[in-house]
Amino acid sequence: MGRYIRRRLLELVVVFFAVTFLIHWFVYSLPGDPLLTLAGDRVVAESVRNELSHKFHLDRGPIVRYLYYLNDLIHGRLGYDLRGRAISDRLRARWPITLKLGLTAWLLEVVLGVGLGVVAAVRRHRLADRAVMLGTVLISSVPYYVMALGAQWLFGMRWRWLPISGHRQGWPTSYLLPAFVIALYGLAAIARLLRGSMLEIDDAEFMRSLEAKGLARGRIVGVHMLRNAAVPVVTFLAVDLGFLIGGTVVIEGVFNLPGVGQLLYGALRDHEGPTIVAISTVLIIGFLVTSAAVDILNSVIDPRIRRD
Amino acid sequence: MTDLGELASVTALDEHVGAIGLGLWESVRRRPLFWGCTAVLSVLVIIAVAPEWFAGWFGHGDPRACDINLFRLRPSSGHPFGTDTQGCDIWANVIYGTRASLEVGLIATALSVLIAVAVGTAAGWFGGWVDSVIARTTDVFLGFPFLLGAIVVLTTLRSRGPVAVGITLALFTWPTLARTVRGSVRAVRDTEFVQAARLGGLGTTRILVRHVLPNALRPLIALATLLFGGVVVAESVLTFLGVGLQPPTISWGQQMAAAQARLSSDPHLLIGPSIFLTATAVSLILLGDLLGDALDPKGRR
Amino acid sequence: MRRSRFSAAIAVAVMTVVGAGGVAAGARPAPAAAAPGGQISVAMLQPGLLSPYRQTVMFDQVMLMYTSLVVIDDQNRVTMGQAQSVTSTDAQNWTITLKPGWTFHNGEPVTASSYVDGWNAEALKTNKMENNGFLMHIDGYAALNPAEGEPTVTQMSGLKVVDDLTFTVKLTAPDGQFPLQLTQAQTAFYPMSKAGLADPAAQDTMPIGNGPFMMTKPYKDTEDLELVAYDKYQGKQPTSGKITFKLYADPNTAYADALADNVDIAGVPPAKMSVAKSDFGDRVYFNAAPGIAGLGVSLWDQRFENPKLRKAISMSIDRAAVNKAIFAGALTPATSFTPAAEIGTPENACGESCVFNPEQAKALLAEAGGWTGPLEIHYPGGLGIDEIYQAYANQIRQNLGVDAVARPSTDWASFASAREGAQFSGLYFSRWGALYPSMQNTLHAFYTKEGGCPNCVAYYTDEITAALQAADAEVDQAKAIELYSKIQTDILARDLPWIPLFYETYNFVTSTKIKSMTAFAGVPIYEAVVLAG
Repeated sequence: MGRYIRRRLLELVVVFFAVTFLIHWFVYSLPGDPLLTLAGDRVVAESVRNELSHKFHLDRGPIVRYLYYLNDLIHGRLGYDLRGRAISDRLRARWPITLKLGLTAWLLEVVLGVGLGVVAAVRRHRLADRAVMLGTVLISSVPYYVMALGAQWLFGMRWRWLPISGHRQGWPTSYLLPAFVIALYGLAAIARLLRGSMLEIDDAEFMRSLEAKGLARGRIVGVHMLRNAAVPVVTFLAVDLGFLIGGTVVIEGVFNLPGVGQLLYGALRDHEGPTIVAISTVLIIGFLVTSAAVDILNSVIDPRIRRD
Repeated sequence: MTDLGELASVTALDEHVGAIGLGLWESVRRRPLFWGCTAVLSVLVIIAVAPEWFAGWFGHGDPRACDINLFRLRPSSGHPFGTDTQGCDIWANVIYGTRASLEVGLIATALSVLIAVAVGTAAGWFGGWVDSVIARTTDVFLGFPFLLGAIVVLTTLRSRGPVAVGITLALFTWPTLARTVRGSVRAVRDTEFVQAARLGGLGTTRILVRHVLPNALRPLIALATLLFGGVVVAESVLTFLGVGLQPPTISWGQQMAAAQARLSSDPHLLIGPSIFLTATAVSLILLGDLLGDALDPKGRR
Repeated sequence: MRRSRFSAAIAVAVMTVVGAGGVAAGARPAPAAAAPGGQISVAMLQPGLLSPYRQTVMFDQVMLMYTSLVVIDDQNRVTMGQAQSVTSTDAQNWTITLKPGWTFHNGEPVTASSYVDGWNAEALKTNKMENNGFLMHIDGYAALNPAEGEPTVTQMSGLKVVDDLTFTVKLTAPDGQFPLQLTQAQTAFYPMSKAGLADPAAQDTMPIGNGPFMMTKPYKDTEDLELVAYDKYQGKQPTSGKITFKLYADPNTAYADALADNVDIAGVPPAKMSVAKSDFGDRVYFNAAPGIAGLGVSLWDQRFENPKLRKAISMSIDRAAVNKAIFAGALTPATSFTPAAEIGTPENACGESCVFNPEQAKALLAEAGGWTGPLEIHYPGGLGIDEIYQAYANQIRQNLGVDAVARPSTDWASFASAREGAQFSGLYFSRWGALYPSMQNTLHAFYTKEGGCPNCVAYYTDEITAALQAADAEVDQAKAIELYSKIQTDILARDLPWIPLFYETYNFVTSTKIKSMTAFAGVPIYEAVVLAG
């Protein structure tokens, strides 16, 4: 047991170094001098540009810069952006917004996706099933931004049910519309996945035997089918959290939510290296730790995993 | 799942796997939906290969022959989808855009599936350190959200054609598929009939190819077709974000990204490319469903 | 995200983004219906730092918090702001006296030292202030900014405090346009309070100004930026008691919010220009701005050496048709090399080269020896300006028979770096928005090396340098205007080193709450908007 955990943690550290170095290298090989974006289409005086270049180690090689970054990280610092603002301060204000958006979307997609998936499976090959399947197919074929703009127009401007931008009205009002748009895509996948695996289980022989034993259909669906079919869905949901964060890049822009996705996108456009690296670091650490925790937890529950 | 074990013997399994290829055709050829999707996709492929056969149907065959004085015309005779802001015929542009959009989808999906099958099977079958290395690698790709990752990579490229965009998308889409493959390979590996096959002295390759892969591929087909449609759509999102395909490549994504800004005043700009994009994605996904059902030996009933 | 559209830093480069100009204080005709205590909200792209010495983009809010020495009013007239007078006899030695009794938001009096000390701190290389370069023409700037090593002095020799309300400025060369450089959009010439000098970092989030509005809490980039009227303000009182800047990442969202009456003043993104009139009726303002857009020519490539080729390209573009299709006819096709909104800009300085004439264009191209291969037009991607460059490419291709292709870069930095290093060849995105409405600003930006516009054009000849120096040296504005005009008609029209296309406008829409508003250099004068009802 202890040995497994030690190995898992060691892996985590190795992966962390590999990934952060890769991102570092990638970000600083973006073409173009980031200091050129500082002043829009104007230029910063040569003397100041040199000073800033030196301050942010832009005049040094990638390895040296990576070491500076590690040194900062060891001391718990995420560094400063090219305008001299502490990145940790900026992130602290933005994480709650992105997390609220992501989790709201996640919740919506679980509730709606599982609901539709069960309906489709139970009403297999009937109208409801076909409607759900066709609906999810159609959703998947509409680009994010078209859906977002459409939702904005319909719910925000025509019916005026929900605000179309900002977070001034707090959770949930301000988050419902953007979260719904993100959730639409996830729920399509969940509904299809759940329907598929439920039907598969429905076809399995042991279901025949349950039916033969005279169990109520409702109980069969609720307890046996759903529980067994949930495994791939849960796997998907864990993975999907990363996608949700990715989706926030588009959605936070269109709905003007000042979250991390918006910041990261802007940072990419401006070649704001320190910010890109800092946000990536936080994302990576978060994901690695979660993934390690889940694995370790699983190993406690299911000792077979440790054998591998 | 012990009930399954009762039935499964090596012999029985071999028989049903052997029947898949034949049964698939038998089962789909009677479905009108299958022929519908196949027809749509075939037409699209022909358009992609030889757009010049179609573009001139309404008299304006050159997508780059534009008269800016005829900007944003509503659909009319000669311009079935109207004209865009540049005064270009949208029909001709949509026709010529088919190739790039399909190319991106094909490259990304094929590459993604290939990597996923190789990696997922290795991880699921061998377990141990192979699994660990692969699991950590997928962690990394999953940890960096797909869209963000694609933006980072595409930003570093100096020019972005269908191949570059396709490869980039594959780079960030395979981990989900790989996890699925790994999951089903593990599930199959631990079943009693495979255990029995191993004990019975069947070679690893034979077991993998004949017993494990067919089972692992089934869920993958549905996911991969979803992915194909998704990738075609994703290209348009990347273009919207300014990191997708660049001119002079003509693509639906570019047309839609340009159209969205004028959605409220000139919705017809969006209609032409949307019809084609939706038809492509919907056909692919429906086809995938059908194949998924057909490959599932029990689903055929 | 039209996100792309999302970069505040770059947004300034796009002609129709939210706000880029300023606010005048002081001597302006007072709007009739002042509504003290009224509130308005303004959509703005996310700003960076707020300190006037460090802000580089989105600074409407900064201009509301300060009153500049000199102020341009809504009729493009030069008036005095914080200054009582700005005078010189030789255009090189200037004496500036201040109005008495003015205070900063923290109660400190505004004195001559507020300027001299502030500017010295800003100019000192080691303080790393982004707007440092605006002060380069003050005598002694060079000593504070050595190319190598640390500066040995901390004060510019050209600045002298005479008394509490008077100081003198010695420039490195005569410059009759200096008073115009002290106007409201040139934030580098704002004063700095003693508190601000002591804690420069605090100015980045909550500047202490001498203007009609002040902040009550530091700015956070996830929240609205609120300004309230400063009750001891000595200039013209504003018409509203509070202005809230709502921050957006995407100008399209801001426009949609204005349509839903969620924000009172918003900019119009390029693609919305054609619908703005039908969406907002008479609540649309297409304000002439001191900006000019055109095509740069890669003069470092000898294929472009022949002026006839450049003229052929210019004459092959139907500016009126592009204007109609893309800008809803809101822009004015350029007929000179400086924007019409700059004081004294001549009409038709460009002559026939700026008039669409495909036949003559083809003839000129043939005389120049024709063109083989593709002609690339480079522009920064992600700014929502793709349609415009696509249109230029189509025009050149169809009217000149040259295979012109529009090529977007990934983003601003890669475009700017490629341009700075002369890494591409062909035509390219090139525009300049002046911060003060003098032809001097645009001509210097384009045709002098230290002009600060790397995307303008690499056309730096002794002839034009000498002509600019002569014009700069005139204290008499009428004579200066004559000389700046002559540079355009005599040199630029002859060589056409740069292809003028459009005079820019800054475009705004308002909610029903706003009855009318005036503008300085294209930007709304927020503190003087007339509220409805």
